[in-house]
Amino acid sequence: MASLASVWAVARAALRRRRGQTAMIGVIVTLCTTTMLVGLALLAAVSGPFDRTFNQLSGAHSTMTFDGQKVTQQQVSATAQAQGVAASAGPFPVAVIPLETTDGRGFGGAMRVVGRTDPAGPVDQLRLLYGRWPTGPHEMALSAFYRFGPDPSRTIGMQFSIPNVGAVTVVGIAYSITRTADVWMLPDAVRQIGRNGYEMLYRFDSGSVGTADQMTSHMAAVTGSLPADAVTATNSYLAIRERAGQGARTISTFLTVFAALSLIVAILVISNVVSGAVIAGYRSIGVLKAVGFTPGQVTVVYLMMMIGPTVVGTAAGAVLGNLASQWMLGQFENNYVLGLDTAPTPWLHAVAVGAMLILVALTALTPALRAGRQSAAAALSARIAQTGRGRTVQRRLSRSSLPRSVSLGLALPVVRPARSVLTLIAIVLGSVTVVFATGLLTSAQRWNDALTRLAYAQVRVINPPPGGPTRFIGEDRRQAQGTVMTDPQVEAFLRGLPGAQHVTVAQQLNSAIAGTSEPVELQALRGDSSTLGYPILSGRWFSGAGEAVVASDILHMTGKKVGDPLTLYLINQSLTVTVVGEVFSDEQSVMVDAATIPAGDPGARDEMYQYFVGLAPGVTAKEFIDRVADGGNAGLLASTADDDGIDMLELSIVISSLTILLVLVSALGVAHTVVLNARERRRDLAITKAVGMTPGQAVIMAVTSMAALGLIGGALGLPGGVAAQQYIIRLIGKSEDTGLPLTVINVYNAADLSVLFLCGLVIAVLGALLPARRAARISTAEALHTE
Amino acid sequence: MTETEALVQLTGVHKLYGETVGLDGVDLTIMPGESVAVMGPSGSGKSTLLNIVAGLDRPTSGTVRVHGEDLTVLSEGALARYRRRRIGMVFQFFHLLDDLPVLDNVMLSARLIGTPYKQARTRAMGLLEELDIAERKDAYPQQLSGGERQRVGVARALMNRPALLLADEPTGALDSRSGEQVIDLLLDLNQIGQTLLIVTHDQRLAERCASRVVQFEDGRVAQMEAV
Repeated sequence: MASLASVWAVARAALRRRRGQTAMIGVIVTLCTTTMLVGLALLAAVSGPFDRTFNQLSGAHSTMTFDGQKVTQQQVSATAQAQGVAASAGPFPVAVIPLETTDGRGFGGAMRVVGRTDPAGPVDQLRLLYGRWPTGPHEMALSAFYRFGPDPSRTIGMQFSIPNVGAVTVVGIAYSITRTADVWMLPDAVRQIGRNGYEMLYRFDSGSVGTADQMTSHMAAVTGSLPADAVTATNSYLAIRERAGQGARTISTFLTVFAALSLIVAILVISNVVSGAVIAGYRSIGVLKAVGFTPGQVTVVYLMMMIGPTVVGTAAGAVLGNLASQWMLGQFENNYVLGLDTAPTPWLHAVAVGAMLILVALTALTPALRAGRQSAAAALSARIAQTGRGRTVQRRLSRSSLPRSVSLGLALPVVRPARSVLTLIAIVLGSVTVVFATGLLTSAQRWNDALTRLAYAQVRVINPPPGGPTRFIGEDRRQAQGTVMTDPQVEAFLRGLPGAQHVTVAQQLNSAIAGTSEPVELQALRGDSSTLGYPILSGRWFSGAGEAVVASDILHMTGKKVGDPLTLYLINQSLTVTVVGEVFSDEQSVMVDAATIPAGDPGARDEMYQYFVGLAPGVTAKEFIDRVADGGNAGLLASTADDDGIDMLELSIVISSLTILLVLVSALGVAHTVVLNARERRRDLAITKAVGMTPGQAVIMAVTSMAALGLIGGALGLPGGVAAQQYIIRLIGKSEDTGLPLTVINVYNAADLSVLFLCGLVIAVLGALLPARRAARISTAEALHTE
Repeated sequence: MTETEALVQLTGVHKLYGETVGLDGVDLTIMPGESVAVMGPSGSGKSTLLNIVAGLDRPTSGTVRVHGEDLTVLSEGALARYRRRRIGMVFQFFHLLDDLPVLDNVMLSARLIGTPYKQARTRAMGLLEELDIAERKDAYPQQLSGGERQRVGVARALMNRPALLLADEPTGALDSRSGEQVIDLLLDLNQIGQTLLIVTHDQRLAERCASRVVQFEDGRVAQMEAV
């Protein structure tokens, strides 16, 4: 016991004496644990997020809607007894209505309003994200998939006009993993709407829901006893999972890279820090042995010195990592692709903390055991034993014309090659992260620009059919008063307005293509369509009737390529066009010259034309919208063109945060190397100061020692980061099943690369500066005296 | 500064280390060309005096003027520049940089003030030849004997032609033969006009090299006598 007490006393005294080093190890362990936990949380979040959340919320394998005129509620209830049904919920009354706000803004299309008394249940447990569940007939919960602006909570309080019910206020935002409704109200309120059907939610035996055939078989069993036309809609979770998976794959691709980088940097830096700290204590180890400590006791002392700050650091890191990962994953919450549980699970905390403790113990153990085996004399002379490395380099540098403080600094890394290599790798990974993140954000921005094409067509004008609701919601929306103009009149009117540079008229038609199950948007374009700014991936823009420009994902789905014929199925006829161009678009659209479409096809949706206006330089969208509204006299609706793309703010926040975290850890790794070097070379620093080195020169020497590694790290990190960006962005393109414009892939120009090359240097200088200044302030007299 | 002005002038210098008194009102004047030996028991304040004159430490109170400059008001950077321009230091344990060969060790202070390599090398080689150690210019400190190391230390101290050479127990770590060589060397330097301030326990060194011996006791000048 006495020996244990003395070991503890020595370890405690050592911790107190080396407060600076102890604090630094604590901070680094904290950040590394934070990084590791964030990395693990990201990896966990992106691995099977849909399935995890689906099971957590008991999602519906199948959602079926029955015609209330064809079947009774009892008949629908009885389907719950069908073979293979493991659980069910419902029947819930359902109505399909157009949804409009009380001030006349429409969502467009039909919305499913489902009556549920509460969000719980054996199937499809709803998660209330904001607000509360409706408690009266004039309250509703809106599906989280409908958003107004960046903050969905602002939707609470909005009022909608519901047929036969009147004004209904949004009191909550709810999330259904299988999207079983657009709006939830109390059952009696839905019945009040009228024309009700019934919605039933089913979960089937878990072993038989993996394929579309199995699902078809289950649905047939459920509906077998009902009239043939009783089912009005069915929804399989497989289709929803596929859609969710696409988004999740996109995000998980780059999050995985960050997670992997986080883990590697954390492991690397902590290994360097701990082994370096133990080696730096060799002389003290020698002293302990000289006064009678056994090798085992010495090893325990040094392990305790490391474990002390590590325990505190891992605890702090677990708390910080928990908050950081929740916050980062929360940024994606509104995309509903990562599931809802953003908090890392307890076992992830245990893994991060346990791994860090084991890592520290292992990295400390090896050098401590080696020291334990050394004789006291050898340990005491550790400083002398380490000299002699890199003398050729030092000699050559001393003969250079570089300032002596710089040449002395440049020679320092060769004295501790292993430490320098580990520090270098940390800098390289930090540089890779910065280069990769910068490129990724630029790619995302250009991806966004390519989708929204706001640089080409800034204003969208709609000539709505008289009376009916519109599909229209846009920023800076203004509607002119007056009589309806014909399509050619609207085009002529817009072209005549000051500021209109290009006007393209688009008519959207429903169509289908053999080989795809989803409807395809056929856009018949007239006017200056080539100025719409669709990035052409291959081929060219159409030049006349019979030619088509097709979105890349459609070509991928159908296996078609430029030059192939493509048959489009309209309502009453088919149309064969030649594919002349492949464009980057997320609209699953085929674009043809308006002359291609036979006149009067009934597939023209809403009989509505859209006009895309490219503005002359200097004219703002708002100015032009005002001109349309003020001068139109035609009931035209004008707004800014859609800017629905990637949410750049969320993406920027998450990527920047991860990058800052990784750069910080890398810089701390550098800082600790400077601290260790300064400690080991305290005597040399004191000598150089005694012969006239100024504090400024001492700072330059220490910073230069890391700056050299920074430059090398930057040079190595640059191609690494570029390669990572190119690989990941192509992978994302592949997961989205689309080709990508070169502007999205090749984002780095010479100026960018020149600046990014310096990021290794910045990390090194950032990390080295503070400890270098501290080292430069050592008391020369004291240092020389104690040496 | 004229010939009659003091090179070193300490007035009422106190140095406290917490409760411990390092120097207790020291007044000391050293004229150019003088060789002053400071002697006294351990802890009497000799090294503290040397560190304060070298600008390595600051007094708690009092003034220290060397070559006309008041060291107490100088910044750390200015003190460093003072050290490399005005003084040279010789240490008991040599304090050479182990990773640099002899020639680079000697040139260090000159290179730090920006002296071009060739010019510094010429000066350093000249000193090494004068000190009869030029043939060891490429050796590393660990390959030298104690006497050789101290001669390298002296060469480094003289590199920037200092007005004042400070020596802290220069023979303390040497055998008697090497010690004698260093004493001869310091004597020669003083004879050609180099001002010396030597802290030592070595009576021989004081008797042979010093023109004045200052005895320290409890941080005070206890006795001062010409040799």
